[in-house]
Amino acid sequence: METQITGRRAAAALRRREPLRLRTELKAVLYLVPFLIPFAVFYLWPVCRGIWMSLHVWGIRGMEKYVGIANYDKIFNNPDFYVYLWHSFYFVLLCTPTVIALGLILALLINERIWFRTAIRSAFFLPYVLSVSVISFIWLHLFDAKNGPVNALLGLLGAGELNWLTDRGLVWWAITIVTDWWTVGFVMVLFLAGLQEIPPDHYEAAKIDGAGAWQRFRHITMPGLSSVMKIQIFYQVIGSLKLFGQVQIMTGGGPGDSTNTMIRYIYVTGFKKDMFGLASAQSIVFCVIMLMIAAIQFKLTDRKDG
Amino acid sequence: MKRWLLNIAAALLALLFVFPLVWMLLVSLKPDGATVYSLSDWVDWSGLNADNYMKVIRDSQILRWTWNSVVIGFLTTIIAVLFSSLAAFSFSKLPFKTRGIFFVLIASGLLIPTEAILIPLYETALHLKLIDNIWAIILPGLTNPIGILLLKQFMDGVPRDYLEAAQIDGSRSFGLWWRVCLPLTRSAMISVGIFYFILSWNNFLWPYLSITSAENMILSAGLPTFLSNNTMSLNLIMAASAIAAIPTILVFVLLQRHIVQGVSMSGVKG
Amino acid sequence: MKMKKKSATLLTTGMALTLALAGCGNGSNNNNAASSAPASGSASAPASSQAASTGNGGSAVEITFWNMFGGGEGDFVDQIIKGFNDSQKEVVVKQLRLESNEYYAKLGTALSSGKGPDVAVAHVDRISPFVKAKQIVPVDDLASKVGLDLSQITASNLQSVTYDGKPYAVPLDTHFHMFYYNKDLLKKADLLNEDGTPKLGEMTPEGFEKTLAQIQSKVPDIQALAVNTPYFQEPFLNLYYEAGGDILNADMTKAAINNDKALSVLKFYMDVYKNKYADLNDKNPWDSFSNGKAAFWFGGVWEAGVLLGDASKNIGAMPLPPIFGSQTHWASSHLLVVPSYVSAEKQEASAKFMKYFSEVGGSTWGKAGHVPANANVTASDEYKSLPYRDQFIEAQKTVKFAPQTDKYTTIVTTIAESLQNIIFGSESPEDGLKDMEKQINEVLDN
Repeated sequence: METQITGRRAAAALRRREPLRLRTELKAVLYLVPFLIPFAVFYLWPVCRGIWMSLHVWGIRGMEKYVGIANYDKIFNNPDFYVYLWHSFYFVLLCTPTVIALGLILALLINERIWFRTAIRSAFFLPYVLSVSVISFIWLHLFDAKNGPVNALLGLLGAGELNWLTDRGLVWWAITIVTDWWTVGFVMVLFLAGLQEIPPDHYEAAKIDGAGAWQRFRHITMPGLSSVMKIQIFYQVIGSLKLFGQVQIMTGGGPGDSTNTMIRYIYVTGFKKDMFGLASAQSIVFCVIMLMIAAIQFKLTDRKDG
Repeated sequence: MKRWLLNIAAALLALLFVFPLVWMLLVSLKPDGATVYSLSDWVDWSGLNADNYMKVIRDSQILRWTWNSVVIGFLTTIIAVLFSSLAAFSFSKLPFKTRGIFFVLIASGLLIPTEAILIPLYETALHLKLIDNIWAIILPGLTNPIGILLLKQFMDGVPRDYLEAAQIDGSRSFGLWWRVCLPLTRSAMISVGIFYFILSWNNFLWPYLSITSAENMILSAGLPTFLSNNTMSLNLIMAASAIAAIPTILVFVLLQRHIVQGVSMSGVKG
Repeated sequence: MKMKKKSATLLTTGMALTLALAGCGNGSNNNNAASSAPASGSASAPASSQAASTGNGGSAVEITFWNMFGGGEGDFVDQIIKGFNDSQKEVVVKQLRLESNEYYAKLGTALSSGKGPDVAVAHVDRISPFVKAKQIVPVDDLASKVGLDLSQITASNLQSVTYDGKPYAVPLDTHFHMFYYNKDLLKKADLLNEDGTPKLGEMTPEGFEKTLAQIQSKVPDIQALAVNTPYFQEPFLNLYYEAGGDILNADMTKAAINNDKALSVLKFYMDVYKNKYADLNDKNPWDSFSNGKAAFWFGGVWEAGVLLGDASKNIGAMPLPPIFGSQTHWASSHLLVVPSYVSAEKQEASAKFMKYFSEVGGSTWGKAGHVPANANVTASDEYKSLPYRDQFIEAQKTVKFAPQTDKYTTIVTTIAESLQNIIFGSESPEDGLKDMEKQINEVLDN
């Protein structure tokens, strides 16, 4: 199912003797309207509205006064902003590679003819269907320093008491472990589908040529998965940048502010400190940064495509 | 020999993955105050009972939240899939000049998640008097363009002979969508639908902000308000988590057989 | 051309996802089709089932009551609500208990959206913006309608909720911290007097640390002093007020927090953490103290019901020791407010609940530990017979309330955040205070 029949050819088939170009145009757009209405009201409008709000002092009770770019000034002169932005990126750097590597390993494992393949695959995928509050509450208590099973388990291996959620060195790993456990099933399923796209005879041919397992992985599996890999990275980066629930429930941004992320920063500024204008400005800056990241990703993947 | 190792590794990993869930279930069934910490706690199954579940169901509106989650999940899914399918049909089968502009506009929705426009979105919902209304959760859920992108791929795969045949039969464009494209992309729509449902079920921050009454909360947002109570015992917290988790686990286990089929079929399709 | 390529990339990526999802979903037709049926019929369900709850007679008015009472006090609120619901047939109170850390974010959104509680708890230091925005109603007329005599309320409490001559809330209590001590542990540390009070030694930071050191050496395995790390602003403000500090200057135009007093208080606490008298990683210090895992605890009066109510715990209470000089300490007050969007009928129902909470619930509330605002209750023998209440009344004499500014929510959130940064070591106390000052000034300037 390559895109063998391009839209253009199918479309040509439809191009009968329409009297007016404009009519075809309107008709086609008409099909977009049901989607476009909520899209405009709950996506495009808030983005524009956010820009407008960011130029004001704005409380939850409404607009107070116009201040120009003062809010942006405040953001860029506040060291917290850079810290929390870094936290968001730090989590991308921790979570994206680990979850993709783990997902790939699990997919390769499942792709082998192991026993209880179905059951084991479900075990890996199962956490993904749970909601973020459920998984956060479970792990909040699993990671408990004194009564948590994680420390109990590590204690059997001879480790001391680890303060998973209050030690600034460990806390990001705790969040990463939770997130990997929660989402790796999704990554695995995508890779599994990708693996099954690779024709088995490629492997057969390579075997006959005497290629080892590693070589087969490098020269057949990896290239075969490249398009799946690209989308995985794309999704994981965006997914990691919007980290909120796990942090809110498990650490409240702590210890100190060491797990405060951009999204939580925006939430706290807006809803807990009642500074909607400033929070909107933070949102806009963050949106611009996310768009830039997306642009960079497209650029990189474009180049690889040649 | 090597296969042996693989099998054992896989089994161990799988155990590790279900460990948190098993722990949750075990704690939730233990009497109030009991912990599951040491090995002996794990095998001590005396006194397991469902009292904690009864207490959670009595003291909170957790069943109602589950129901709300299901309703909102299905409404979002059905509406989003239909709207996406219509738009995908337009992009795939109808020639129009501005499609490039519209396509880029819509695809841009993929790049900025709802969480990033929280404040103005809240302001918008406030003005539309949608706060504390289930539609406040559903409507923003419809703006995800992923469904259009995915369904367009499948529509592109609908052979033009089918469309031509239908045209000769006198179908207008709506008929082409309804009678040709919709049935032919049914399985894709179900896949996309499951995806939307999971997204809606797991949505946390926005429902947490936009719903203010206990009656209208959904599970993911209601659970933290109920559980962040200092005096609540671990057993109750886990019972509440289990109640929230069990429906999804059941649905997943029931679908398991179909997923196996599906995965192997997707290989054939390629 | 460029554009085309980009959308091409998007499409390939979409393609990959589709294939995977197709795999997932292919077989699930039956399931999905079956479940779509109930969904379509259920759109109207939330509305209809809202009416059908708690069967307490057909014509009863149902009101929603919001509160943030998570600690030991929660059970007492449950009792009061149950008592009210059982005492009459006209009004049914249903409560929604929210997490205290997020409470005002929620209440603020509810008040602005007009969708939320019919009656809610609020702290005295938080209502001024609600009053200014006319989001809550004056309660004098409501009170007289249901026969609640506001003159029963202690004058200072009533004064604190009065704006332009009208009371905007019914004050329930004054609450602050007490100094709780575990007698069994103190005995082991040779720090218990014959009369069951603690030997505290010299009343200076150094002197108090010496006492803590003695506990630590004689009774290892416990915390000498459990510190409320998750809500560190409260123990901080207690000692900062003792030292004579203020959050804002007298005319409330500038922060007044960056000074040596604040610094010495912070250094004292950081010493306590560093020497392991208190465990920085303890996320539930209140439980640690309650379970006999700590000797001292600056705990809220609201914990009295739990801590002092159970004699087997062998816990005592006294006003906070003047470690930093004076007896002045942090306090706040719980109020009941009625939002403006509430219908007249429900406002009156809410007023009935407020009357009950103040007059009858007051004694239950006193048992929880808060010092009730209703003077009839505090004068009653029932209240006076509760353990250590003479100490509470004594401690109440030297309380200090928050500055009366409608920016207090923002200010206190800022302080709470900065303090967390300081005690967890991401900022030095000096930088942290400087940062706090700057942020508070920014808030005040707006």
